[in-house]
Amino acid sequence: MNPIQKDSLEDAFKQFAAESHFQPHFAERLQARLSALREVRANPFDIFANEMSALFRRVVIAGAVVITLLSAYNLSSGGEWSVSAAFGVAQLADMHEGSVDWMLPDE
Amino acid sequence: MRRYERPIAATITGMLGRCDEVDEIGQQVFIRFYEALPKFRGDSSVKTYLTRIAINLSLNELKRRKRRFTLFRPVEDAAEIRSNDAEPHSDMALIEQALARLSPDARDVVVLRLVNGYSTEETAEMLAIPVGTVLSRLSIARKKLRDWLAPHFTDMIKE
Repeated sequence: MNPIQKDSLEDAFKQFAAESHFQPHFAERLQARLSALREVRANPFDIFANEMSALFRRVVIAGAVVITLLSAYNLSSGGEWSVSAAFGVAQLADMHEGSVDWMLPDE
Repeated sequence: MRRYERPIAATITGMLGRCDEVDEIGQQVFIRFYEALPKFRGDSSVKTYLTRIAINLSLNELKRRKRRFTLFRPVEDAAEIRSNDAEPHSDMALIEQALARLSPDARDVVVLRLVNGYSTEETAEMLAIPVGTVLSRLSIARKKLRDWLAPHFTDMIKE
């Protein structure tokens, strides 16, 4: 390895400092982040509202998926194609009647 | 801001080596300063204040890296690997590699004293350690650096 001419250890470190830099457009990117930060500080409820609507959106999607799956199950197990069958109204009525039968004493 | 960009870049690069985190930590330094601006009393210069934030964030990053990489690889710093791979004979890579071999405690002293050119007293104040500790850490680090770098740099044995 060829030795590199240097006056001292200090000079080598000064050169290291002079050659150090951030990636291009560092100041512009920082400015953009600071502007966004200022905006959030000026309207803190905007960010809260955005977070809430994002959370609500996820809950709605999950609920819709569950309802679709349950409806599909009800339709396939009931053998009847109607809105009430999809929502399991017939099964609910059976369950209700069954429980009443069980509770009533034999005559 | 542009005035402080290079010294802060040198501080973080000295502590972490050239890696992707340097830029992000640089951004964090200025954002933290912006957030602390209402509380900034001007007791120290802006450069000193920014450098102190840069050192603290870099030390946090080193701790995070250590936690993350201990299980996966024995080398503490990605900088050491990187400087071995890329342009291994350049001055910058040699210094980077040597700094990465120092312990974080010695590295922050070397970065502040030799890279940033702060006085021993300023370095002690910034790191909240006694002047004597700065001097002893620097003396040990200098000896190690000379041993590691002497084969590559001539005329280095100048006190």
